[in-house]
Amino acid sequence: MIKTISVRQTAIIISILLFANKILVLPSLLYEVSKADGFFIILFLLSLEFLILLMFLRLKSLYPSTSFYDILKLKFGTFLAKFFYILLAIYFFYKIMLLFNICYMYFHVQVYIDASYYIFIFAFLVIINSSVLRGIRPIARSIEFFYGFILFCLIFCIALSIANFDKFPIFFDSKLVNFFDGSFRHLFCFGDMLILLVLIDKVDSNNLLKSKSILYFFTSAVIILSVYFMFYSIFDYTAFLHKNAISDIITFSYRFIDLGRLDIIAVIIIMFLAFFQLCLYAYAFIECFIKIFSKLSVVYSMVVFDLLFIFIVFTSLIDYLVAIKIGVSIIPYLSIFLYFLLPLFCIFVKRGGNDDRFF
Amino acid sequence: MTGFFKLVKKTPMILALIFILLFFFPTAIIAPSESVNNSIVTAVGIDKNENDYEVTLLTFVSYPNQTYSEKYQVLTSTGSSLSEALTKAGLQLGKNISLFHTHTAVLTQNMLQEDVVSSLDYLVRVASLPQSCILLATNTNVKDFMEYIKNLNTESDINLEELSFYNANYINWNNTTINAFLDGYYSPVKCSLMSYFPLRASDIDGIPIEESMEIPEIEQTAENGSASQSSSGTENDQQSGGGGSNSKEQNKIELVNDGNVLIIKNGKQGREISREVLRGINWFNTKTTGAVLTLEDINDENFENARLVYRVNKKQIKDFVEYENGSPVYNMSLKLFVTLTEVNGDKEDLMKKHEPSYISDKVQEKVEELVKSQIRDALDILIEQKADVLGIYDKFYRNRRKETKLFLDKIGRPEDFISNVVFKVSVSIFPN
Amino acid sequence: MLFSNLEDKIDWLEKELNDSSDIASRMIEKGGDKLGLVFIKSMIDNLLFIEGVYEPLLLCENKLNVDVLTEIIKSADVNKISLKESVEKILMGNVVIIFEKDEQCLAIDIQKYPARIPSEPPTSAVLQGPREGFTEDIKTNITLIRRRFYNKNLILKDVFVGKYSNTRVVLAFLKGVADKKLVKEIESKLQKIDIDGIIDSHYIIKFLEKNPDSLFKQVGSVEKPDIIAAKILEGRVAILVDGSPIVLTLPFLFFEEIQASNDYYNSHIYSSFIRVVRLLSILISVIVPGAYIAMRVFHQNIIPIKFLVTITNTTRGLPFTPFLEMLFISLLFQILYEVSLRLPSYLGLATSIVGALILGDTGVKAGLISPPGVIVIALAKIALYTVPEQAYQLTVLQYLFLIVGGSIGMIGIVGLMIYLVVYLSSIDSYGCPYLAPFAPRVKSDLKDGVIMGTTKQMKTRPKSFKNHNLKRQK
Repeated sequence: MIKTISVRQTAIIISILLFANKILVLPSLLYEVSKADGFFIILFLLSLEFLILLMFLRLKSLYPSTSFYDILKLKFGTFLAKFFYILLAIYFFYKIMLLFNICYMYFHVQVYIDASYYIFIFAFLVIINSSVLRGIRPIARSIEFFYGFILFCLIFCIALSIANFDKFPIFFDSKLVNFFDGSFRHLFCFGDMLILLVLIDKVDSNNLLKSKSILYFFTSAVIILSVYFMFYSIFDYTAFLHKNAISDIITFSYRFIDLGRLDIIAVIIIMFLAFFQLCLYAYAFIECFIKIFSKLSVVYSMVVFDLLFIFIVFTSLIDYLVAIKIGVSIIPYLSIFLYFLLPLFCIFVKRGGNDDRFF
Repeated sequence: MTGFFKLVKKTPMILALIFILLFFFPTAIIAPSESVNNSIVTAVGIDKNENDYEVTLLTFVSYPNQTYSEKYQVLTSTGSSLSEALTKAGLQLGKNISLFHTHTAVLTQNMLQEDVVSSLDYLVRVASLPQSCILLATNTNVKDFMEYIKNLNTESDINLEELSFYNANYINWNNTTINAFLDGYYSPVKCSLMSYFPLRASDIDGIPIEESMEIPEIEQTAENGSASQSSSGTENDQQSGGGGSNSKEQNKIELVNDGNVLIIKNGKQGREISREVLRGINWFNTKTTGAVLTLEDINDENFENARLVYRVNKKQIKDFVEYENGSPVYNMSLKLFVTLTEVNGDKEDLMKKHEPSYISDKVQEKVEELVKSQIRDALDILIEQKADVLGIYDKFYRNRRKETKLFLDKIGRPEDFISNVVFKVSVSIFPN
Repeated sequence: MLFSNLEDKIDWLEKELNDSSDIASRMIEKGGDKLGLVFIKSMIDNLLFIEGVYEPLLLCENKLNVDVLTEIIKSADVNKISLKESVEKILMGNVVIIFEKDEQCLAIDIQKYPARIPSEPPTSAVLQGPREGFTEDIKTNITLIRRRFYNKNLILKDVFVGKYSNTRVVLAFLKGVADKKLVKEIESKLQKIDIDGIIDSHYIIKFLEKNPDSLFKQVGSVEKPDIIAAKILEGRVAILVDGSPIVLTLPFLFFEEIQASNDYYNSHIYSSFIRVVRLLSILISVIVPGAYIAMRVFHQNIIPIKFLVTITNTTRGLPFTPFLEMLFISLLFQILYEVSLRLPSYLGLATSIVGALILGDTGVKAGLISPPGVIVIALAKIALYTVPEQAYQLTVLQYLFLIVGGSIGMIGIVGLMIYLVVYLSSIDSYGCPYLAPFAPRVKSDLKDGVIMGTTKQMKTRPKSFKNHNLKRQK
């Protein structure tokens, strides 16, 4: 029997996945492209993310207990299914490297001035390994356990930043072409909902899945939009200088100067989010890996992942700048295929006599 | 050995614990506190002499004590670049220069003669100077200023940071942090205000530390690129009464907080604005409180040639922008809630009608005249300097974007916008 | 077994009992009937023996056979047993009457041995509420539980564990409420225990746990009958062990440690507040020392300037590195704690003086340790004892966080927290998720979680583990 994660846990995973690097460097990157209209870019991209969620929900209702691999096998055959899973594995691995590098830069600048790279590699690898090997259920439960705390701290960060709020951002000040260009080029920061496709057979089927998923999605979306709104309001013309949005919106309140830097709250939250998101991405990667190389067990797949990770990190093959460069150039095309074309094809196209779940 | 492998298979985390114990734990045992390797800098000052940068740091000196007293030292170093100067300071101190706890950054007027943004950008991006750090300017060289600050912090209850904060919130309407400065620099109008704390001779009102406090003479360095350090602790500066023990004659100088500010345009110093002119600027802001209106020669039914002093307790500002015949018009309606605090006229007058809520038509007229003249004086200077520190352009751009863009095409630069704005101000006063 | 006469039977019994010096035997011959009484001198009530057993035998005018004696003996517990069973009965403090002509024997339970009076356990003191605590005598413990359930559905099942100790272990549960499978599983686990002796209930804990190598408790331990009664009502199974005042409960959830009996005898608002304080205390005790070290060694830039100035001034010139200093102070406290447990009370004052003044104050003045370090460790060690049942586990965690914080900083602390929660989420206690009702969230059980509802609001039994008859009140 496949162990399932509950509806609430799924909804919380959806909520947590949304954060990723969207509240770190992305606001500043979007400002460089389209000034305060970066707020609308994020709104637009969140809507696309929402579409992926809806596609997942639809697929789940059509195939309540079939894995995504089996769905792909049904539609495309084994060879193509493995090929798409290879693409997914590459995509998830890229996301791991991107998130790891962004978080490393963030922690290095904020709190770890003199520390070496090895600390982060060790810390992240150990937690990822121990969590993934235990399975998705403990990961989902631990995310559920900390969710209240994470949400509270994020809202607290936004509340603290209100002290610095002075005026609204200047919207609609950039051209439409910048809007679309920015949206396309920054697609690499999105697509976190793809993990749900890999987890589709592990999610509990329930009437409440749709409503809860959407509710938690909107909760996170509102928080993200609030961060962007506060960021563009507080920093206005200097937004491009602030690469750590969630920290910088609280650091500024010099009313609290006696208490020191309150951005420690943001740092701790980003640590939690980084760990959980990396665990989820790693789990998705391992799932894809196991499907591709069906003879490998979870343990050996994990070893392969570790070796690949250590090799790439030590040789700086994908460092911070390279990750962003790949993200801006190659990933948007892969994203469009993986986010939309593949799930839509699975939903709308019936293949073969065995496929009786037809929309 | 087999037992060990079985244990590892059962509990793989043991491997992680062994790894920590082997590789990280020994480092933890011998790792000193970060304060051993990193200095705690509470204030930084930058000056420029010809082609060299002079960086002065006010660093915290730790010494074992149970009385919670703080000891600081002033450290100066020069270099052809900021990076070099900071490195030399680090060498002198024997620690890494860490600006994380710096709350005050001081620039001299020399520095402000040219674009200072690149220097600040370096300090912020590389040296981790927080952008919430207060930024101010001074007239003297930074070393003297830092020495003064050091003595001020340790010998009195007054703290420069708090002074600046007070000014920024209640006097100047000026958010004087690095971020505010950069915000003004990168805005279309490219200007901002900066707090100005000069050190002046002691016969002018200032903040003394002790009557006989002396500021050391500036040390002349023998060659370029050297660093000097003055680590006078509080005990060295204790004087027993009038007159220092130093036989050299030195001028006594004190910090003057008269609320003056500097206009900064394109990262360079513009004109110094006195507090009198600031009053006019402050009328545009609801946050600054405590304005005082002194009305001379009041002649009405209750007073004859009286001098009435009103205190403004609250301000209500209603403003809106519009374009009349293609020209920008800024309309402001100012409501002041006042209290009569002093009547300096006849004794009889004092006894008769000294009510805090006293407001006559004459008073209303006089107040309006006074406020408008203050606004006029302030605007004259701002227009002359092309310094839109009031955010007028911003208001027009937010509320009337299309017309403003059209108007901008005509005039060219946003900095010139304020010169073309017609200000219409109405003032009314009410008892508090 | 065939014996020709009574003496042979008694000889055989004595040999079976290894001719132990505390075995006594008496013979009575009356009207041609012979019977022998065999017992352990130190385990019976002498007065009751004389008045309830011996005298009636002597005064009896009828034939001395099993049926007659069953009627005349003045004891509540008289059982007919075989000769083979009599060995066990004698060892349990029974007087066994052996008949010459009858194969059956009589076992009379007139046990008496030194036992404690139920008193308030030191770790579960309450301001208001019951103060009875369990004792080492299982009969007393059973009585204390029975008194709270005047209902036939309270079932007690005996299991004897231990090759040499043959310790009586009793399972107590409510029929129709506790899960039958759970009861069966526990019973079978107890029966499978192959050990020489059970001295205390903690001996059988490791046999009942699903992850015996884990640092964390997976079996509840309680010292008060009111708490046991409450847990039995929730659908749990209580396990009483003869010779131990600690009664075990299954299934066990991590958050049971945050709940105290006191909470149910006070206002729910105050109880909620106190539970939050307990939770914060656990976090403080475990995380603060490690976080302090991490801040000093890796993250000085986060510390507010005023704290930094104080810490830097007070730690200047110390011979130890921050990590060693904290380890040193922590070990000092641990040694003091161990000493205070074992030292006689009249030496307690001396220990306090040595600990507080000499080690603490003088250590600071001598420049060996710093005041902030002492404060941090003192706070952490004191906070441990808000949940005394978990003190040992939390102490180990404290050291782990200290090592990780000193080695790799805040990321290590956060990582270790996540690892612990993932680990705890992966273990279960007899089918019940260990971190329930928080992970997974069981909404109805949250009324008795950290924030407590009123008794009126707790209408159902906990849904975190399997039980029947969920409705508790209308």
